[in-house]
Amino acid sequence: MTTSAPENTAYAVTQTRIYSADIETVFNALIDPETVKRWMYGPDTTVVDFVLQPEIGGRFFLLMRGQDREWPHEGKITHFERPNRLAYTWLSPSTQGRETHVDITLTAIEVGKTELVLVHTALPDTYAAFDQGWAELLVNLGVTLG
Amino acid sequence: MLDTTFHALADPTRRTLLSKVVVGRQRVTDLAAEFPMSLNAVSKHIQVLERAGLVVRERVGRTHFIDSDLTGFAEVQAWLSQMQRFWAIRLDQLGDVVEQGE
Repeated sequence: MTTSAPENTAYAVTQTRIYSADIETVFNALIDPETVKRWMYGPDTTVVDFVLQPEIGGRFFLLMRGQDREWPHEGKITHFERPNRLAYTWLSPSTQGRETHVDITLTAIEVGKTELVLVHTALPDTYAAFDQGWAELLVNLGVTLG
Repeated sequence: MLDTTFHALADPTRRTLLSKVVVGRQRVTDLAAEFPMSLNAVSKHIQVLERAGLVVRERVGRTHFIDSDLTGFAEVQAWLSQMQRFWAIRLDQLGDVVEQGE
């Protein structure tokens, strides 16, 4: 799909966007707490708190509230290369104790135009290796993706 | 349970095993012959896949078969769908924020 996508997206969630904004603006929006609160919310949830140490090994903490409960997320930064790459481990109630990995790659297509690719995987070992993908397995099973 | 399923998938041998099973029920001995390891080692991998609800074992006489178990598949698929929606919503909102100009 794009040359800037991470090597392997098997068993992973992948999202791609093209934004009419400078790459620095997009990168900052990923890490600045006040900006993050303006987009990280959901239909039923608000961002109560977001803290991030902007360096490799730095930690982040994200607290969302909604549906009568709190949703804490936390992780550690594994890649920090301004303005092209930000990646971190991701633990939340929905990962049920499993450490997952979120990898965001930014590419400046031109001034004022930036491509973002996000890959969220629960299988760290598939990350850089070619592998038969989940979608392909489901096709072989005759299961239609929902 | 989700962690058990992801743990099962986080091994390339088990993913290869699974890819062979999803196209149809397999005789365990036939499967094992395709891997450069002992039948015992393959059996251990199959056990992990079984506990994860990804395969189910069946014995017909003295022959052991394994087949896909949709329970584990459904669980992983639900997680993937949930996270796709999670990020899809937020990345659209991120676009609204960065394109407003700062």
